[in-house]
Formats: sequence, C-alpha cells, structure tokens
Amino acid sequence: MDRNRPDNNRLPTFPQRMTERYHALVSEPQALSRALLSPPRKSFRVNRLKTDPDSAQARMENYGCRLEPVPWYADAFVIADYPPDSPRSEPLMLPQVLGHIHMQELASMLPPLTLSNELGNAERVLDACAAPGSKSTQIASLMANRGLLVANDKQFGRIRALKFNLERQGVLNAAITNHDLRHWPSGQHYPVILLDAPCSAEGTLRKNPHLLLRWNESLLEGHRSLQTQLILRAYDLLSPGGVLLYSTCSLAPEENEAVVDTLLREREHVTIEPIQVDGITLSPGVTAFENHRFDDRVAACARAWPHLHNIDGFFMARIRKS
Amino acid sequence: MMICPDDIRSRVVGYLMQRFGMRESLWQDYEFYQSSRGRIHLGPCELPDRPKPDSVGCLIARLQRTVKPSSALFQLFGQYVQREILNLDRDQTQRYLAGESLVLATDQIADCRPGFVMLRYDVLPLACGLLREGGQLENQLPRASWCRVDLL
Repeated sequence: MDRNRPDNNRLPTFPQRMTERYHALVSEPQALSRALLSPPRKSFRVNRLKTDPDSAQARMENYGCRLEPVPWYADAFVIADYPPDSPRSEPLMLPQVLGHIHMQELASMLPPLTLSNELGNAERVLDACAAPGSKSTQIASLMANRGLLVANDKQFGRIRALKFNLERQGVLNAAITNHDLRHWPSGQHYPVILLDAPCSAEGTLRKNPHLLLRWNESLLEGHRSLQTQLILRAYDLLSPGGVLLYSTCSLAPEENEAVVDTLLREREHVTIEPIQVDGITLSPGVTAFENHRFDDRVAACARAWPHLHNIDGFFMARIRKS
Repeated sequence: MMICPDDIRSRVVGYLMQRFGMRESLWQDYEFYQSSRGRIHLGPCELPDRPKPDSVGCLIARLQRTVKPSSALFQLFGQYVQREILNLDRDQTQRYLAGESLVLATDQIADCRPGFVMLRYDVLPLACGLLREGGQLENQLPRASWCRVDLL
C-alpha cells in the first residue's frame, strides 16, 4: 500500500467549500471527487539516454509485470499489475535502480512532452522549479543530453534529490543551481523555460489524500501571489520568440488561469498557444469561475482532469514571447 | 566547480582508454569539470555565469592515487567498455547492489586484471567494482545507493 494513502475507510472527506468549487468548475463534480479519491495508477517513463522503450518493456514483461501502453506517449507505460509473487506490493526493479526507467505520474510527463519540438534542438533550457527532477530528466532525454539544461530549485533541501535523479538517469547536459527565480540575474535569456510552479497540489489527491486535511481556500491566494511573481520573472527571462511552459498540478483557477490572466495584463507581446498532444484531448482553460472572469485567451491553456483523462489533475499554459 | 586543467583531463581520458578501451571521441561533446576532493564531472560545454552552478553533469571519476571510475560512468557508457568486464550472476548482483563485497571464483575473474572493473549483469552495465588479487571484489557503491532489488 502507498504509505501516503490511508485505507479507504479512513479517507478524509472533501471540505464543503471544495465541493462547491467543483460544482462551479466541472459538469460532473461527483465524478471528479470520486476520481480524486481513487487509487492512483503506477506509471513509468523510459529513459532514452540509457535504453529504448522496446527493451524496457521486454524486460519488465519478462519480470511478469503487466504493462499498458499510453496512447499519447510511446515512452510511457502504466503498470497494470506487478508479478503476483513479488516480495513487496511495489517491488524495486533493476531498471529503476539503473535509471533505465523513472516512476513518474503520467500528468507530470505532459509539460516536457508539449515542448518536445523545441527541446530537440534547444541550446539553452531553464527548468525553473526543477526538484525532484522528474521533468528535468525527461527534458534532458528529449534534448538527447545536448545543449545546456539549467535545473534550478530554490529549496536547498530538495537539491539533493534533484542531483540524485539527474545522476541516476545519466544526465550530462545539466547545471544545477539553487536560486530564487524571482531574483534571477538579469541579462540572461532562455529560448525555452519550464515553470512548473509550486502549488496546492490539489490535482494529486489520488496519491496524497492527506492534502485534503490541510486544504484551505485562503492558501490558494498565497500560492497565486508567488506564482504570479514567478511567471512574470520567467517571462522576462524568455528570449524573443521563445516559449515558456507554465504548469501546476492544481485544479484551482486562482493558481492557473488567474496567473496567466495577470501575465496577459502586465506584459506585452504575450501569445498563449494552443496545446496539442496526439492521442489525448485535453480540456480548455476556464474563462470564468464563480464571480471571476478571465481574459478569453486563457481558453487556449490546457487542463487534464482525473475523471476525464484518468491522470492527475494538471494545468498547462504554453506562452510565446512574440 | 571549475574546468579541469588539461593535464588532469588527459590523465582521466588516458586511464579510461588504457584500462577499459573507452575511446577519446566519447567525450568530445562534453567538458570535464573538477570539484572538491578530486571529483571529476562530465558536463555541458557551456555553463551559466550567474547564478553559479552547485553541480554539473555526472560524477564520472575520482582522482586518488589512480583514477577511480564511478558507477554512473559505467551505467551510461558501459556499452563502450571493451575490457575489464566482470559478469555477475543473479545472486551476486543482488548482494553487490545491497552493499556486499564478494569473493569470486578464479574462472569468473579470468578475463580481468586486478584493479577497477566494470560489473555487468545480463547485458546491463551495473557498477564499478574493485577486484583484488585472489578474487576479492570490494564494493564501491556509495552507502546511500545500497538497495535490495526485488526484480532482476
């Protein structure tokens, strides 16, 4: 059993206000609540710096794992079943230890994937909030270990995990920095920036149901304030013509569309580009929530919903400085 | 973290070529960096000026009396290693990854000279090991990475 996940009888219930918000956000709020409390699926991504999907799949199936392909990403698989005779419910496998595969929630694979065209020939990439490194290692894989990936995180305590994951996956093109993005030195510009911002993580309730216990609407405002400062600074660091991918694992419009809305109001030459991933139809950004109305352009943002896409709740905005 | 002086880079590259047959062109797209305690990292050719990086690329070796290759080096470039390859069986692999040192039979180490060797299980490069005269294989994995692997 997942250590973060209490058994079904002890699952916390949704705060009343959260339920009200879901009614305002989606047409099937009960389905969303049910999906948020269902057990998460185990998934992994193949690390192309060390192996290829066919080899990894063959080895895992040889162990007796039952794998399901992911229609929108050839490098990803869902582990439908571990071998029945496994000594542990989630056995440790050699490809994990050697960095051939990386256990990663499917939704978290989306931001680098949506940047894959740019990453294939990027010379400089900034992953602004990189720890613990799932997306950074995926970015390095999509860059084929070429160019420069600046993997930054403000929290010193999380740098160790970032280093560990980058090294385990054989990432050679990364420079790890420990800096507050809001105070990033001027004069440097990046053609590709990923800002996977710190957030309430409401979309990951399947894995972390204990988050319900400390959910509070007032926390969202604190997150929104920080996220707004981060997105403005990230946009300022973007080269002309460059792409900034802003993402969170939050469902709250305050942390998503409202942040992009502020960017649209406070900066010039901002274009929100539509996000298309072959094999999955993501939902559009919301342009209105309760008594808030956002710029219509935020509809080009993309949302993943647990009850519609069977992955964690996720938000992405693909922002071009034109 | 600074770019390796030429003599240190040559020492590392020369050792990897001489002992393991790893050709010099493997490193041509990357830069060698030196950090504290003789750690040699292989990383990108360009680094940001500010903020200063805490760490760069992968730790590939440590400079001691000799060059000590890292397990990360073999896990990434193991397919290019041509000699000093020691194949472990399933039980030995499990024990080595759990942090044990091993005593190996003479026929198993017949192809290897004493010194650092690349360990392999099946076709997978595993780690660096230190082979002593007489078949003692000293574990070189950092304690933090010891683990009990269930599925090999």
